[in-house]
Amino acid sequence: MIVELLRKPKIINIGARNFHDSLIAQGADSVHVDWKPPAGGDQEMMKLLDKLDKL
Amino acid sequence: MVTRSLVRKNEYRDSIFLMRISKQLEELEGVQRASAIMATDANKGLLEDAGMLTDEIKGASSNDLVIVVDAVSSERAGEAISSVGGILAEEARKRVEEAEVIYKTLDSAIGAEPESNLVLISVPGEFAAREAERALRAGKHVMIFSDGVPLEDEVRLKRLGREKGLLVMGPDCGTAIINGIGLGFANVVKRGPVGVVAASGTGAQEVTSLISAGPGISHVIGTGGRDLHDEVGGITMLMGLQSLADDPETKTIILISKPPSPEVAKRILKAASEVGKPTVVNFLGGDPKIIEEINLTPAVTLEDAAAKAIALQRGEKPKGVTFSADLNEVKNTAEKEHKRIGPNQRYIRGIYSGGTFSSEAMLIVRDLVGDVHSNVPLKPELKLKDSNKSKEHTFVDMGEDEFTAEIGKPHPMIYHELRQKRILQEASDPETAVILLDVVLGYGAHEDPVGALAPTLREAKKIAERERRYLPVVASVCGTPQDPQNLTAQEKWLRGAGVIVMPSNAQAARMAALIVTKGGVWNKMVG
Repeated sequence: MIVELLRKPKIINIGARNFHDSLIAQGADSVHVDWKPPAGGDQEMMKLLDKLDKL
Repeated sequence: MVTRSLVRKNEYRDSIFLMRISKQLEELEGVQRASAIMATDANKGLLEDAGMLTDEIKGASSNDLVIVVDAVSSERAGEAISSVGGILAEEARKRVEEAEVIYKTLDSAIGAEPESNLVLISVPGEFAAREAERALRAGKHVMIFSDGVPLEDEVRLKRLGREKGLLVMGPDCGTAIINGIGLGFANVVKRGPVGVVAASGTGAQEVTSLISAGPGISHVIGTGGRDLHDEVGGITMLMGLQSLADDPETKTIILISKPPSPEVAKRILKAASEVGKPTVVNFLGGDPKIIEEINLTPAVTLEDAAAKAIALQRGEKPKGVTFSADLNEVKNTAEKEHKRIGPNQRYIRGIYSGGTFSSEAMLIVRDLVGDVHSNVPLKPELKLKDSNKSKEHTFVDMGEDEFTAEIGKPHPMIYHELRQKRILQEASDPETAVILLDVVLGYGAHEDPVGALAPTLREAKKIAERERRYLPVVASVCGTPQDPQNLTAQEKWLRGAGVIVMPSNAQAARMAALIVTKGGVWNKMVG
């Protein structure tokens, strides 16, 4: 599987936008996730949501 | 002085983008200080320390973007605050114009891009493990740029990755190059047969930039700084090594790390000796004997690692580098500088943006000149009591959290203000004999670092001159002529500011040692 990655990386960038911009500037295959803290950054609420997700 | 603030409810932006806004605001006329940050509790604390926490910000939540400005008048402050709306609108307009699809969550991106195979994560550390686990469970390799991820999460993620045959690069992985594509902080390097597995991002940048002038680079797999700790056991370095062993493009391998725990070192060196490709090992500050014993090639510096890999690749006998230029020329350059320093100027002051560069330079200077004090010292007893105050030979790593946490100021490879202040401070100290610097180019780094540093360096030289001293400055620039900032141009501008520019971090440290000892260590060096 790593061999496939080394042949052709296809990237999902999550977080800092400028990394995505750099990838695009290099002609790489990249999409950007405009990440925001889940549950408004409330860690307890986040854990609850993750539990619900798994169900 | 007037302080004004603005809260934009439920508007999240990443810290690098916000740093750019802060910088733009600080450049406006009449603005003293400005900060655009998310109103997390930690950031509010930092604003309070800086005397910039307004009542309005006190009431904001961690999902709110706040802008706070100190200006000479309320008009100037008001103008600065209202300019932010324009910057944000312009950013949004660009996205619409490019008709780019932007995903809101990792899951939606993975759903829409099933062919994707690598997720690059740079969300705040406390959230990074969560996103990494989602990526791994969906069968994607991950690179975690974020730091501040707990060690137990790293162990858990790497074990999960190993189980699924997926690479987990990081946390705190600054650099990777996969098939010519630079991820995070990376230089534009020539493609070629040398593959690197590195536990240090700047270490990988130095080695790959130097090799780019020779045979070139196949891949760089980053592991994050803790991979070779006992708890993690080198999972990513072992998987990275195996993948370079299997990769037909890679003919020569370099491993870079600080000295690992003995157990982990044994495992990695054993695996490396079974690969059957020439392998150079740079365990910075480690014992070269154990590496030689199993027929691998040890390297004492990053430059040494690059030079030896180039030699092995060409089928030549590997040998180390002290100075790459003509020795007489090096000696003359040092002499011209040290003739002009006074008897009270006795110490080297290293002001670094790259932690590995600082460590490497300390190892070299320690062996030539003696103990070096630091915020990240080689021995605990050499730790600075106050990182803002130098003592004798002092090297500071300004990429450490204690500096970058100041009002959310990002890394000194992107933001030079803190380094500029420190340079001027050292220039005012009559005991400073040499200022020693690193400059890092490439994707992710400042768009024109020398442009930002050169006026400060000229000012530093003037400060010394006014006090009838001469102040030598020595630097090296990590990068390639193909980088967006252009190595050749950056070096030329640095020389224009009166700086001695050396071709590697190690050579810059040696030059500084030569100047501070007034040539006294020459024989020891070139013997």
